[in-house]
Order: sequence, then C-alpha cells, then structure tokens
Amino acid sequence: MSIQKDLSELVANRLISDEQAQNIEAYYRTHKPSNTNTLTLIFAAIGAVLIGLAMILILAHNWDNMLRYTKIGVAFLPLLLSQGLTGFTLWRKSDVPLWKETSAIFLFFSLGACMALIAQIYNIQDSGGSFFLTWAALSIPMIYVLRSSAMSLLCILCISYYNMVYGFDSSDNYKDFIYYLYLAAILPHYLYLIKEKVNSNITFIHHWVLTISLLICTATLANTAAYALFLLYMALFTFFYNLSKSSYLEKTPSWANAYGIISQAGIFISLIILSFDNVWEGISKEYNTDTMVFSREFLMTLIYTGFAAFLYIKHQVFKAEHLFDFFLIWAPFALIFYLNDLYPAFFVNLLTLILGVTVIVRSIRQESLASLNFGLLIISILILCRFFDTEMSYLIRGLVFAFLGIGFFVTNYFMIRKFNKDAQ
Amino acid sequence: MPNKSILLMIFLWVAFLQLLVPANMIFQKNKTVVTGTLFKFKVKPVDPADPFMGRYVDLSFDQDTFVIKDSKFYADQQTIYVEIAQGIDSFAIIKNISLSPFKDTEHFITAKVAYVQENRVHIEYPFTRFYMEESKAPEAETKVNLMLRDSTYEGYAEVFVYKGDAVVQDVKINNRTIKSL
Repeated sequence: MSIQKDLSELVANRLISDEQAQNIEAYYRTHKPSNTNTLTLIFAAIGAVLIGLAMILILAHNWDNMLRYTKIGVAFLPLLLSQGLTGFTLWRKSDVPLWKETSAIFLFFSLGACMALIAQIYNIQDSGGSFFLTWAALSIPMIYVLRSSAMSLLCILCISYYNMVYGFDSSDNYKDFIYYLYLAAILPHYLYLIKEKVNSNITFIHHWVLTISLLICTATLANTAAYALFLLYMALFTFFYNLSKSSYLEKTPSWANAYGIISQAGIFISLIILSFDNVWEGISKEYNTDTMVFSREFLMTLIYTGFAAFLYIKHQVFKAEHLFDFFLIWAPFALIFYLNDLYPAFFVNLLTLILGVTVIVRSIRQESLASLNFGLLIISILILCRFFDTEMSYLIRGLVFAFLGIGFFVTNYFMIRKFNKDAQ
Repeated sequence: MPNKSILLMIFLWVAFLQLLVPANMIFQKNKTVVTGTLFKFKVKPVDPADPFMGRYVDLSFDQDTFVIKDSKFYADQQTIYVEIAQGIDSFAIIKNISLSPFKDTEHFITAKVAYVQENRVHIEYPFTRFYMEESKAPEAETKVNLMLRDSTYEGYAEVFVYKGDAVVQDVKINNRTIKSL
C-alpha cells in the first residue's frame, strides 16, 4: 500500500513520529473512500432500470395465448414481488442504499407494467395521460418511505414525459399545473439532498434533470399569449441564475451546477434571438397588455420573478451593475418588452453589449479566464449577427472578424500573464 | 427521520393503494363485461403502437356523429353521454346524446365532443384501442383494410356498454375475430 511506504519514509526522515504514522494509517483504514460501494450501487441501479424496462416491454408484447385471468396474474406478480422486496428492505436493510434504490426501481417499473397490462387486457384507452399521473402519484410516497433518490428521479422523468406529451393540449388549462403540483410533492426530497448530500453525484444528477425538465416543460405553458414565453423564459433563467449563486449551491462544482450553466446559456441565446428586428415585429403585432396580464404565461413569469427576487435579496448585496448582469437582467428586459414599439431590437442589442462588457469586467476582477471568454463570446456573436443583418462589404466584415480574433488573443494573453505574475 | 414502524405502516398503506388501483380497474371493467349489454360497432381500423402498453389496432367507428337541433351547448372536448341502441341491421346506433348521464337507461357511454360542425356533433369514443400481440397487429390491419374494401365483408367491434363505461371485447370481420385472421 503506497500510504504505508510514504509513512515509513516520513518516519525515517523524522518528520513524523511512529505514533503519528500509526494514527494516520488507522485514519485512512477507517475513512477509505467507498468507491466500490458507489460503483456497485450505480451498476445495480442501471441493472434494475434495464430489468424494469424489459418487464414493461415483455408484457407489452401481449401474449394472445394466455387467458385473461392468467394475464392478470402475470400483471400482479412482479408488483407483489417488488412490494415484498421493498418490505424486506425496510424491515431488514433500511440502512443499505443498494437495497433501497434497487427495490425502489423495481417497484416503480412493476407498478407501471401492472397498470399497462391491465389497460391492455381491457383495451382501456389513456387519452389524457392519467396512466402517468396515477403511476407517479402511487410512486411519489415511496421516495419518502425509502428515502430513494432513484425513485425521485424516475418520478420526475415520468411527470416530465406526461407534460411533454399531454401539456401542449391547450384545451385543458389545468394540465400544466398538475406537472408543477407533482414537482412540489418531490421538492422536499430534493431540498433534503441539497441540504444533506450537497456534493453527492445523485444530487448533481437531480440538478441537471430538474433544470432540463423545467426548461422543456415551460414551453407547454404557451397558450393565449405565446409571445410572452420570451418574458417567461427570461424570468426562469434569472431565477435559475440567482439559485446557482445562492448559498445552497455555492459548494457545488460549476459543471454540476446546472442552474448556472443553463441560465447563462439561456439568457445569452434569448438575447441573441431577440436582437433581430423581425422577431420583435412578430411580438409587437400580437402584443396586448390586457390579455397578457391574465395569461398563464404571465402568472408563471410573476412566480419565477418572485423566486428570483427572493433569492437575490437573501443572498446578494444590491449593486447597480447587477441590473445589467445575469442577476437582475430580467428587469431591463421586461421594460424593453413592455415598451416593445420603441426600438426594442436596438435596446436588446445595447443590453447584450452591456452584459458582455459586465461579464468581462467581472471576469478581470475575479481573474476567471472562462468568464472572460464567455464575455468576449457574447459580444462577438452579437456583432456576428449584426453582420448577417446588414448589407456591408465583405472587406469590412473581414476586417471586423480579424479584429475580433486579435481581441480574443490579446485579452487572453494579458489575462494569462496577469495570472502568472500573481502566482510568482 | 420517522422511525421504522411508522415508515413500514406508510409503506403498507401505499403498497395497498398500488394494488387497489389496478384491482379497481379490473373490477370496474369486469362489472361492465358481466352486467353490460353487447353492442356491435362498425369499424375502419389502422395500426399504431404505444411505447408502454404495446401494439394495438386503432378503431374508428361508422357511428361517430349525431345531429342536434341547437349546437350552442356543445363545445370541443366537452364530456357528453351517448345513448346506444341496436339498429335494424343489428349494429349499434346512436339514439341520443346528452350533457348529463341518462337516468332511464343503462345503455350509454361517457364520451367527448371531438368537434361541432353546424348542427352535427362529432363524437370521440373512449375505446378506440384494441390491443393485439405485436406480430399480429400490423398483419391484421393490412388484412382487415383489404377486406373492408369488399362490401361482402362487415367489420365490427363488440363493445360491452354499462352506465357510461365501455369495454371492447373483440374486433371481428364477418363473425371471425381478427386475432385469428
């Protein structure tokens, strides 16, 4: 073992005593990282998911030769077995994550397979997605009974699928809100993960799955004022950004902080889209304050803005520059949106430019090379888009691109030199 | 964290509910099959698939519209009640539609308004799927569609109807189930 070799070397050089070496060795023996356990858990979970999916597919084959009551028996058998397994886990193995997660996955899929097979036997049609809602409703309590994160992920995926398939049906207003209601039921477990397992892989996966789910499902809210989706998405991204900068997620590595990545990319892409004049022509044509204010798009905008404001007030100190940074960018954007007959494209271009400069200034202050390049990217893409917008000679375009390229090199060069100087 | 016995109690309740929901689906449908009346609905099938429930033959029915005097009470996707009766040719016909369940008959189905065109209400039935073994469904669809072009063949779905609920029992062409085509 390499640690023993290192310790004997340290003892030989009299850097530590024999007793200290023994203590260090004992510490490492008892605090060995549980890589094997994590790997076993991951493979067991993947195995359980595959078996569960196989179960659904095998039952979906529809065995014509079986009698109706045999089929019913086949439908209930996996459910009863997985319930038995879950009961045993709770009774005897309640401290072993491997048992809890595996039995939760089996239970989830066997319940879905059972209900699907009954629907198949009686030719029951699921036109409104009630199959998925019942499946999730009967599974969500098990998240808390088993403290199972695999179950919570599967439930989020189940209701996201429901909302993506049935949420676009604008005739049923309540359907989108059912998705949020179910998410609210899963939220306490997610908060528990953020509080108790802040640096666990399963928490990171939850961040990504939830962010992507909300990102996609927000589109299903489009109804009477679809153009207000721009405003809604900006509110959502501002909320995400403030959440990513809150104390709840400050210890999360940046690659795992999905809120930070998605919000910055989302705001950037939205602003670039809205920097085109013809996009605003479409919005201005349909815009009507009275109908927008009473739309569900606007209601959700208010909710997300409220969340963003709450997080900002709780975790940040107000600075005027934040109005042009990702923190509060929703505010100037909302003003441009409201005054959409007053050169909105021009003001969005200006806002994007200021955002780019703010990010660059912040990156220099924080000495972050990644932020610096992101700021440069914002400005470069904005300029690139304007070149496709206007009829300008190829020579001028070429020169501007060359300047932009040189700008990238020069700023990065100075930044790296500054880093090296600070390091010395 | 709640103690083990409380968690076990909650688990037993949820497990009971997980069994109760599919059992209730069976109970409801069996009640319709046992006590309901069998009607024959003329059909025109096609063949899609469901990722969770398997392959099925999608049924569309001859009897799917009803003419009313005033259509202003009917809107798209509204729940309606369709009273079914046996026609002269022994196939099912729509006798009446209503916005509330019928009290004087058991032979009605809970359905939805697909759309309204002038005074004609187009009906969306809750039983347009007939599940089949995956290898048989596409084959059945081709054969059935070919047969239905010939006027000597008659395709119909046998549907049990009881107080709003309906269960598709079988789909037949000239008294032969499409499972054995």
